[in-house]
Amino acid sequence: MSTLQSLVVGGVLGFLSSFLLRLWLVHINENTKRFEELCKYIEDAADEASDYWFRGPRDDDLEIKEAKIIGLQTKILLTLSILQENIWYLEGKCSEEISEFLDGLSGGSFQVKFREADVARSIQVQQAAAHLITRLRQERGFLLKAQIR
Amino acid sequence: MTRIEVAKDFSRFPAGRYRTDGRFSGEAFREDWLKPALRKGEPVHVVLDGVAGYGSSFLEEAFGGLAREGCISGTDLNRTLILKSESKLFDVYRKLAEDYIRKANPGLKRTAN
Repeated sequence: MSTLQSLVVGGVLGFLSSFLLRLWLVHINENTKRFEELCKYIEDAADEASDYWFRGPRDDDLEIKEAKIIGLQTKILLTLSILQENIWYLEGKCSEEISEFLDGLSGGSFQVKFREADVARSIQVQQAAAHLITRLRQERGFLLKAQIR
Repeated sequence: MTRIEVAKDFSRFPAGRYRTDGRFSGEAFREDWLKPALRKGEPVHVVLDGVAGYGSSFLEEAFGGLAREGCISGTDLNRTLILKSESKLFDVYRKLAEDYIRKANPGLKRTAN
């Protein structure tokens, strides 16, 4: 192989590897962004739900809160499904924590008219959110370590 | 086989646990759609996709309530009542509904889809 050919092949290989590295970094950054969004949605939903469950017999305000909680719940599940498509590793890893969280969020007497305040659920939803976020971060940490190795 | 699409046949906005909570509650879905379909003795396929979102209370009352009242015959959940989800979003709701059935009637077994 001539010097010129070696230079061309080297250049192409260099370009390709730097392109792939950039692509990988964009992918990682995008997933990190989505991941942080997911954690924020979970925290927001838990706060909204704590406030909702802490209140007594329903009034108009509670209906708006129910709509917000369902909206946040949908955002969480949509973001999670995008993440699971990009990060196959996360699939099914946090099912138990997700079920627990969703039950705290919109289970029990959610959307039931004239329900009593449910202080226990108000606390439980915060705990379920903390467990879910911790588990998600833990699993993502394992994945990042595996990618670096 | 009976096929029920929640969004098309019932409502795109299912909400509430009891009938007193609204027209499209879990109790209404169970009593007006699930029970009559199960009475025919054929497998019932329920498609969960297409709604704006489910409250867990709706799923618990509709599906958990069905198991509590002994309306699912046999020991195999997926032979009598088959819950379907085409997207990953609704997959979570499907699993949640199946959990509620199992919790309400621990004797039922789950088979792979």
